[in-house]
Amino acid sequence: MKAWKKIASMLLALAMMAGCGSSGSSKSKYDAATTFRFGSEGDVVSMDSAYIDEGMSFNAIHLQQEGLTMNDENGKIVNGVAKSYAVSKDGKTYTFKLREDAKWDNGDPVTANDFVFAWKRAFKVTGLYYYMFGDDAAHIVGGAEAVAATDNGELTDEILDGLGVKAIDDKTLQVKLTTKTPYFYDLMSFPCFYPQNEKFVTECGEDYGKDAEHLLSNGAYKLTSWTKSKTMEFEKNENYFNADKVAMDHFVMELAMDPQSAASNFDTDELDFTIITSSIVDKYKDTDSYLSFSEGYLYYLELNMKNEDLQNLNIRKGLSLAIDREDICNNVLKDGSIPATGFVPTGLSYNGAKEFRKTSKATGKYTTFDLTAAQEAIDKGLKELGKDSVTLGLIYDTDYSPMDIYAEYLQGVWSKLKGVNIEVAGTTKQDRIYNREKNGDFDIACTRWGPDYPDATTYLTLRISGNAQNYGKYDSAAYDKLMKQVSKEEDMDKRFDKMIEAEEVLLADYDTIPVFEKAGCGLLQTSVKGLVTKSFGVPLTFTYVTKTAETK
Amino acid sequence: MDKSMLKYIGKRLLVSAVTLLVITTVLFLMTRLMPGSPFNSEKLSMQQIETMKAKYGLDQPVYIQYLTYLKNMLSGDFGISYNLYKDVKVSSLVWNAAKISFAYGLAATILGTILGMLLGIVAALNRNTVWDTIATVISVLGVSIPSFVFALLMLILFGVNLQILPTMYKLDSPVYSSILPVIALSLSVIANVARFTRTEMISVLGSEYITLAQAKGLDRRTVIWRHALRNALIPVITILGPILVNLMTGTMVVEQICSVPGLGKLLINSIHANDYNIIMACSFLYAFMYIMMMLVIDVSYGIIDPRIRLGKGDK
Repeated sequence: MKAWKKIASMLLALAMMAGCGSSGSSKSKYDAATTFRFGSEGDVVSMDSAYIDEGMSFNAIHLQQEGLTMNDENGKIVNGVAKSYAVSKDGKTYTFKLREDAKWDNGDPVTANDFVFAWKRAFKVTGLYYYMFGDDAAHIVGGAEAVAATDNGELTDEILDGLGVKAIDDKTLQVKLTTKTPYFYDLMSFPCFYPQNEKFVTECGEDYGKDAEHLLSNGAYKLTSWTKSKTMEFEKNENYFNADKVAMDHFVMELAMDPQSAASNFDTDELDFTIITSSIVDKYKDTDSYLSFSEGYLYYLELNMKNEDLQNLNIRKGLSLAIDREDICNNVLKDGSIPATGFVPTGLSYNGAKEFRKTSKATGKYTTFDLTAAQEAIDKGLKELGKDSVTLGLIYDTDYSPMDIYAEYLQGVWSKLKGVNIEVAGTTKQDRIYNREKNGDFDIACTRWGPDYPDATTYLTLRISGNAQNYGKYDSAAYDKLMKQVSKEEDMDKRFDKMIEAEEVLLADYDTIPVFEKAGCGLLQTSVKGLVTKSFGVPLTFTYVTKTAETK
Repeated sequence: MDKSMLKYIGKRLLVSAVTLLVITTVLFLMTRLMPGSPFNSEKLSMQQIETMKAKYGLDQPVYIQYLTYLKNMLSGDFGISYNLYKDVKVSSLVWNAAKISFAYGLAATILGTILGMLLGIVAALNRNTVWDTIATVISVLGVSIPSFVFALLMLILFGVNLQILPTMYKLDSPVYSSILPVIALSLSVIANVARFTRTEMISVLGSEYITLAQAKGLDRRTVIWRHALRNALIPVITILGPILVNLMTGTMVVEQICSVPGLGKLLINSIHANDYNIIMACSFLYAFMYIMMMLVIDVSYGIIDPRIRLGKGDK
């Protein structure tokens, strides 16, 4: 009996300790006034700039790393680790002078070699973004060769040594380009171009970037602890050259949260900022905390040009005219997304002060809604095809929002067209891209693309015949010719005009049907100021966030 | 321990090992049959995907991948994460998540068992009274409503409205932030244990040796505690094994709701990301614990009741 009692009391004590313990307190170890707390559904994959390839990891790494250029308080790209820079007359050589006070948090200075090392390493570890060094983005001399060699698994040190990046001295970095690249300066703020401390990275070996101990910071904060799938904790980096602008002492990032729980935690003031999904927007839409920002993704419909029915221009045109883009944004997505008016999203590409969408006369011209005209186009198309009706498959991804409600909507609007039968099939994103689209096994696919750099070509190159992401096999001699001219043109005004011209060719063909530009929505405590959101590169810059007073 | 017992344990161990091997094989094939690959960004070219596959050995024929995986697994190497946590060792990811899930599962089982037993005993001793009805209602609710509904209700009530409990797992106060999920998880345990305890108690209380004990003039307390309860609890203990394993290996939805970085959450995330090695390791751990628990239960039954360990040929 005694033993029995003993066991029972021990169990009871254990349960009390585990379930009802009172040792903790709800107060965080950080002072709320000087700590920024951000919660999100996303998770951080890695903190190694050579590897990372998605938004949440970008947000995290940007907390503690700065590149040659960076965002200022208004989101404008300005000098970062670079103190100044000079461009050669032909626009093909950039010489960056680095700041004397740019340091790693272990006290080492940030040197030109840190960039050379990191850029070469991006190839060696075969992350996602090594292609950015080649002719798809930065146009660095030797970049295209290194990309091809990495793709084929034939990368050698000699090929890497051919990369046009050189440390002239500790504080001077020279980069040579194959062609004049107007967005090159902006591109230098993209994480894959961040520096890495060679000595430290080599010492860490395989562990680099995988936990807080194996990381160095040259940015606003330094990572102090990282519990995977849960929390990252940062503290202010006093060695940061821009430390005066950093108001928060600590930064806490809550990862992989259920959006509903994240919203609850925002309500109880446990979070200062969180990203929410369309499903809970209604509850917060009219509050002061609601924030909508462009995510940069263009959602468009990829049409398979190998499909006989879709080869008919009128059928394609009819499908596009039947979509009420205002309606889908305002009544279905409800997250601040805006109707697409072309294939290049709003506010992405500039030539000086001229913005692409505002300059192009094609803006909105090919994305109108007119159900009667749509039916007329379809009727005309059917007549040309000699058919009574066409049956088209629509594939979409079931594994992330808002693809499902979007596909449902499309099915709804197209069902109003006489002579068009739509068969909707949901699948996973991987299956959609790698089994269906890449093998041409689809009719119409709900597709999206996010910009890699702030220039129209990040979208326009997708439609060049032979491009890997041209899943629908769009093949227009006129378009290809114009795009070739764009890549060769050194006069920036002419280049801009050519891009606008090319886009119109594409839009008039209705080969791709742009539908909407996706916005993200979040909840931001009203006391917070200074959050910078961007639609390309690092989505969220927290460097300048401040809190005016104790929240709520 | 006699020879037949050893033989019985040996046989059971062998069966367990074979079962685990079969599970591993099926799991391996299933992960490979899932559509797509771990490299699922729209930005990757086919060439890049091939490069990545070669890097991780995923370009090999499936049977070679399988044999390599088995070989590594036997030496304790569960591989690395492909895309959820680039190149991080799976064993460390799973172990960190398992520690938390184990603690939650254990706490919920202990709490649930104690409360469930008390509820069951009260109900059995006060049959057909209001206490019995209350206990039955609690049991039915606990069994039929999933734990994540409780978690959500408690989150809204105690976390958002009353603001007395934290709504998410906090690293700096793990015990305090575990109250809500542990209570939510323990409700189904309470319900199951209460139901079982009540039934067993009633049947034991009606048996002849209890009547004998009462006839001997023993007081009610001694009869209940010493004679009835001890016998009633033996079957109850046997249901605790599976309950414990279920709770310890991660309760996916509750972990998601309360932002607990446990096994269940890791498993869901890895399935979303097609991160094969993590899926394998999490599922393997689940299977391993379940089979071990079954083994322990079977062997202990064998020790208690020699009739069980006699196979057909052993008569």
